[in-house]
Amino acid sequence: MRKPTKEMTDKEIEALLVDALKKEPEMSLPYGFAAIVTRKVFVQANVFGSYIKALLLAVSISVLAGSALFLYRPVLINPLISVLVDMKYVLIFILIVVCLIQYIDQKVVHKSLRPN
Amino acid sequence: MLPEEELVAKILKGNASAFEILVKQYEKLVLHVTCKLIKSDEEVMDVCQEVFIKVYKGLGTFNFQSKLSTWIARIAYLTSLNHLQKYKSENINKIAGDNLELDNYHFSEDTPEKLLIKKDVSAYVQHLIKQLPLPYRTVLTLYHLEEFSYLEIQEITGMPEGTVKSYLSRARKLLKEKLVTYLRNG
Repeated sequence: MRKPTKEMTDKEIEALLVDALKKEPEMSLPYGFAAIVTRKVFVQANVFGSYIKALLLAVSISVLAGSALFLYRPVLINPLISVLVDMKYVLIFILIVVCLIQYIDQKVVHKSLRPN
Repeated sequence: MLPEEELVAKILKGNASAFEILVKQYEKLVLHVTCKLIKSDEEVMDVCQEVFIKVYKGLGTFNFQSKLSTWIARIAYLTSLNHLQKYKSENINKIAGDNLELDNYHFSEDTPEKLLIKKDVSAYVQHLIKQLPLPYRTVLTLYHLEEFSYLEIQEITGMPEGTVKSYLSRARKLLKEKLVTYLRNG
């Protein structure tokens, strides 16, 4: 940038102003910002992926267990179903409590620990 | 440098390195937009991160009807405005930007930085820009620093093209007047 003087013409002052407007701010992002953001974004995406994988795994195990029972001990199926039906409120309650704990953990505990 | 379409396609397939390239490519743009609107350095960092998270989440909806830089700049602009509104660090009327009169605008002259600033025209201009109302700061940055066109600024900020031109011309006129006074008296 040219050295300003008192005798500068209008055009020179205009050019000086445009130069100043084009100057980048002194502030900069920390070194490795891109890597930090990328890690953060992909960790968040992976957390969702892990939940889906866990759910699929649980469903697969249940199906396999059910099939094995049906093939090898079909007589146990009816008593098992009746036990499940009898205990349905207990099972639903356990499921709700587990989901609630996970939800509170994500919304309250993890949020407060997460760096911005 | 990868073409935009190819880069976006890779990110959508879950390629983390491609996303990192995108962040590196646009981090300056996002920083320039946010730091002109938000004054606290720490908050700027947070908002920049938030912008790129939104970019990642919204990339699937980006249809290439505009440039990727325009789209990212719009996200940065809106995220900064949301941040300001959320934390009320800027007067809401200033954010809205309507009916802003610059004719009788007063810059503060007596600051502890005054003596230092006098040594450098560029720093003096930056000092003046910091005190301008938010829409003026935004259009000056987008036009001069990022070299967006009037139409692109309209797309980014949602201000009509005429308003963008008017803000630019009024801000430059005022800055020039202040600079002339500064140079004549300096």
